[in-house]
Order: sequence, then structure tokens, then C-alpha cells
Amino acid sequence: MNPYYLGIDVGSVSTDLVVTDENDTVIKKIYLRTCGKPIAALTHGLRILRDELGDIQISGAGTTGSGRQLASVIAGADIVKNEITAHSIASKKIIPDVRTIMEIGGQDSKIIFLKNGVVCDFAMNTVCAAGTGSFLDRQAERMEIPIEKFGEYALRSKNPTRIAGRCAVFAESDMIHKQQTGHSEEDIIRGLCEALVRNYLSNLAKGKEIVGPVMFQGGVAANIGIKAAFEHELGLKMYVPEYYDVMGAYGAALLAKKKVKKTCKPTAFYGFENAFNEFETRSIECDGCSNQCEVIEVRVNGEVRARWGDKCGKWSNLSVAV
Amino acid sequence: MNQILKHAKPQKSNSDITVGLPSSMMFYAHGELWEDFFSKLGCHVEKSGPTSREILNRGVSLCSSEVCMPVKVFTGHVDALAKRTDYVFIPRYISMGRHEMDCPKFCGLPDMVRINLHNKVNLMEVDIDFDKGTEKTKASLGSISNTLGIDYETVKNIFVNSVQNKLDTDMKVGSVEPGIKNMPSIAVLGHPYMIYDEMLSMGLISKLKQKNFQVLTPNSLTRNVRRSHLPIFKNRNFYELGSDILGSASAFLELPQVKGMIYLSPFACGIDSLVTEFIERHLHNTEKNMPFMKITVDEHTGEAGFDTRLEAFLDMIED
Repeated sequence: MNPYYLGIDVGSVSTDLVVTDENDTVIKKIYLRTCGKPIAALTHGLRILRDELGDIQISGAGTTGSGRQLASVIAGADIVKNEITAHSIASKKIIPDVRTIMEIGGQDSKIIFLKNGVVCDFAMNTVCAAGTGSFLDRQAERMEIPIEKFGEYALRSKNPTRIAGRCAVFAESDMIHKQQTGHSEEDIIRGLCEALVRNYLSNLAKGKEIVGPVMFQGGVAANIGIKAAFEHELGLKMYVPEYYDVMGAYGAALLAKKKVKKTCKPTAFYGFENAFNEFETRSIECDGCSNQCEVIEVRVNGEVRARWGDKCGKWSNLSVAV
Repeated sequence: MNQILKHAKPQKSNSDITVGLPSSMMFYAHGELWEDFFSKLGCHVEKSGPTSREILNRGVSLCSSEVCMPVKVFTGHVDALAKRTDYVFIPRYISMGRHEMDCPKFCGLPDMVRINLHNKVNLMEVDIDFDKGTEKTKASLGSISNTLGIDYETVKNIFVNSVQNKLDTDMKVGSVEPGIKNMPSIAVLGHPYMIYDEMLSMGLISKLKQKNFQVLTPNSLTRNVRRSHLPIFKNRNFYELGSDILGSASAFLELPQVKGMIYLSPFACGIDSLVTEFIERHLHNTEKNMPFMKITVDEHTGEAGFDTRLEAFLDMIED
């Protein structure tokens, strides 16, 4: 039976799963909305994979994304890696000499600089989520334009209007003002795309030199309006990879393969059947000391599988009864 | 209440008086010196201990949202001590040396705390203002002498021996710190009350040590080294802590075992906004290949975002 590898990326907005074969080719990708329920999204994804791929042998599994720890507890993973590393591994697979990776996801945006195939600098957005996917989503919803059509609207604009891009709250009120004074929807949307790009470059790139080849990925890469605005601003072509929306998961699968090849151990993946178990999480505020740690507990069919979040180890050490 | 206490002769003998030292802010730099000072004055010293969630929450609820996280945490520490000590000691750091100033929040710290705690705390203060020599600082010891009923000369002598001379020594010791080992190291930059506070720093130093890195901080260098490595500016930084960090950063660039630098900064810190910018420019201008990351933290207790950045940074170094 041929070995396959599974990559899981549990992000704030989407939960992505990718299955690759021995040649690192993507044989199946799944993009699901997390909808605030990462466990439900993940198990749903695993069930789809089982239904569509049948009983294939997964030899290695990796998780990434902000929910990577939770995902590794639910699905069982050989490697748990941060998004920066996962994205750069995946991009290098597609364009080996890639120099800049721009990723705009639901709540996160990042920029990764590489030199000679090695990450040499990176930046992630700080406390503010202005200029990420969820902001675009929200504006699309407010204007009652499907998010998939947002880019087309932008490209139709002849005279983009200027929108304040510093803060999502200001941007929204600015857009409303422009709309009330009679600017067309197209011009406002293109203005918004340009504002987002300006904001991204000043917050993340911070004047650092952006050298091609540039890869653009994450859910927002589907937006041709944003892509065009970036190309216009930078004067560089942006490559959007085929699996732009699941690059994190693809990277996790590649990392998993590398890991199991190195350790030669059987995979920690619990199998697709595991997705039919009943998962339950709860948070406990520990009152053992003045730190008041918030402890997360995951139960599978009523049995405790993992706990984390404590500073002292009293809860995360499962062999100790609390 | 404060006014009365300042002038009244103490009812208790000094060994019955408990002085609280908030384990926050400049305690991380000079805590031991002040502890020694009050012990020698015959007082019982009580420290507030490591920052806990409870202290943090309390501090946040007492302060206005405008001040930085460290000041909120500090207020939480004072509040914890106010209930179990007779006095809480807050040194007013104005200047640590010639032509150097401390952050305005240090200069106004006792006042801010008094207002935020609605005067429900007995404070003892001293002004550390070495820009103008040592006279002003010594004169400010008068109120401690009054409060404790110890004659001024004695207080002054103990201050000189326990605190002032030790600060002077730190400025004069030799150039190479013997404690720095030749092994892969990460330099952690930032104010002492950020990088050494386990709660605010989300355990950054212990996390790095767990990964088998030697952790170097501005404290790993002598003040002399820190100051002699300030070529980034034509002049030195206006703020004392800023000069310290800037000098350390450029000193660490010369150590081959330093593989990367992490700057931990509280959200909205004015000093850090300048210092990090200058470090980045210096790295850019000198074309040094030193990985550098600034992490800004605020009230959030979720460590996921923090850990992601740290992990990615270490992956980058090990690549």
C-alpha cells in the first residue's frame, strides 16, 4: 500500500487538510470554514477524506496554524509546526528560489523573506487585524457583494478613491462617507484594496526591500483586486500558487513526511476512524494559586486525552490525579 | 493620613516596621540594593514576589487604560503590599547619570501609584537624580529619616554604602563579563522589568533555555561595555534604559556566539519605539546578518501568538 501524508492547518477562519503522496503531489485538498468550532471543522474534514479516499495508509501527519496544538491532540500528529515554517517549506517546494512570501489569511497576515532558500526575516501582524481576510469579508457582507466577486469589482474601477487603511474601524466609516457622497461601488472597492495593500506594506514590510520572485498565498490571494493592487504598488509579478489557500497544510504534510523519514517511527496519526469519536473540551480556571491559569481539557468519548495551559504542570501531567 | 505619618514620631521601633518592596519595575535592577538599605536601617523587608495573574488583574483594574503594562503591573504589586506592610517603598528614578533621564513614568511613579490607589497606601520615596550630582538625591533621604525616626546622617551613610557605591561600582568594573560562555546564544533585549518578569515575558527566557540556548541580556554586560558600544548615535540616547539596550545590542553584534536578538517590548512604549528603530537601521546599514525580532506584548494572556513567533524565529536560526 502506498504511503500518504496528511497536513492539517487549523486557522482562525479556515481549517485546511491536504493529503500528499510519496512524490509530494497534492492528491486531495479540503478547505473548510472553521466557524469558531475548530474540532467540528477538523473532524468533518477527516470524515470527508475517509469517504473520498477510502482506506488509504497515512504514514505521517503534521499540524500547523493557530489551532495546531488542539489539532495534534484531536488527530494525532508527528510534527506540530508554526505557520511561518510551514508556509516557507511549501512555497520553496513550488518555486525553489522564492525570495518573498506574502500571506494574508483570516486574521493573520505575514511576510517572509528568504535568501538562498533560507528564511532570513519575517514579520506577522501585531494586535490589529485590519487588512486581513475577515475585514474584507465583513465589508463584502455589508455591501452585499459576494466576496468571490470583490476582485472583479475592483478591476472594473477607473478612478479608485482613497480609503483610510490604518484601522478597520476608520476604513469602514471612510467607505461609508465615500459611498454617501456618490462614489461608485467599484471605485470604493478598488480604493479599499489599495488601502489594504498600503497598510500591509507599511505594517509588515516596513520599508524592507521586496525582491522577486514573490509568492502570494492565503485565502485573500484569490482576490484578483488585491493581487493587482500589490503588483501595481511593487512593480513585481505576484505568483499565486495552485493551492494558494491550503499552503500551510501542504507545508505541514511535507514536514510530516520529512519527520517520519528521519525518525523511522510509525505515525502518531490516530486514523480516520478516530474522527467519529466524541470530542469534548472545557476550560477550567485553576484556583490552586494566584496565577489563576486557564486550563483546557480535551476529552475523547468521556476520557481525558490532554490538558494544557497550566504553568506548573499539575494539570498537563495526566498521570497525576487532580 | 500621609501627612500625619510623615511628621509623627513612629510608635513602633524600627524592627517592627515592615517596608514593602514591589517586585516589579526597577526592582529587577536594584532590588537587592534597596533590600540591603532597609535591612541596615533595621526594618523588616517584605517583597511582593513574582507577578501573578491576580496582581496583573488588580493592576489593570486600578490604572487608567493609557499607561503601559509595566506600570499597571507595578500598581498591582503595590496594592498587594499595601495591605500587609506599614510602608511601601517606591524610588523615584529621575536620572541615573550625567545627561541621562529616566522614562517620565519612572519620574512620576510614586504620584501615579498614590492617585491610582486613592491615597490608601503609605509610601516612602527617594529621588534618584544623579544628573545634578548626588546632593539632591541625598537631600531626599530626609523624609525616610523622619518617617523612621533615624537621624539623617545615619540614613545617608547607609544609602551611600548600600546603594550609591554599588551603582558606582557597576559603572566602573572591567570590560569583559566572565560569565558569557562560548555556546549558541540568543540576546534578549528590553527593559529588565519586561524580560525578567515571567508573567509579562510569557516565560521567554526559560523557553529559550529549554531549547538549550544561552540567554544574554543587557545585564550580562557591564555598564561600561554597554556605554562604550553606543556608536549608533552620534550622541547617546536621552533615556538611560534606552542607552543601555542600544549599547548592549551593538555589543552583542560583536559576539560570534549570538545567533539572534529578540526585543521584548510592552505595547506603546515610547523608549522602545525609538530604540528598536535604531537597532533595525543599524543592522541594515552595517549589513550584519543578525536575525532580529521585536515582540510586542500587552494584556493578552494567550501565549499562542507569542509561541508561534518564537518558534518561527528559532526555526529560522537553526535553518
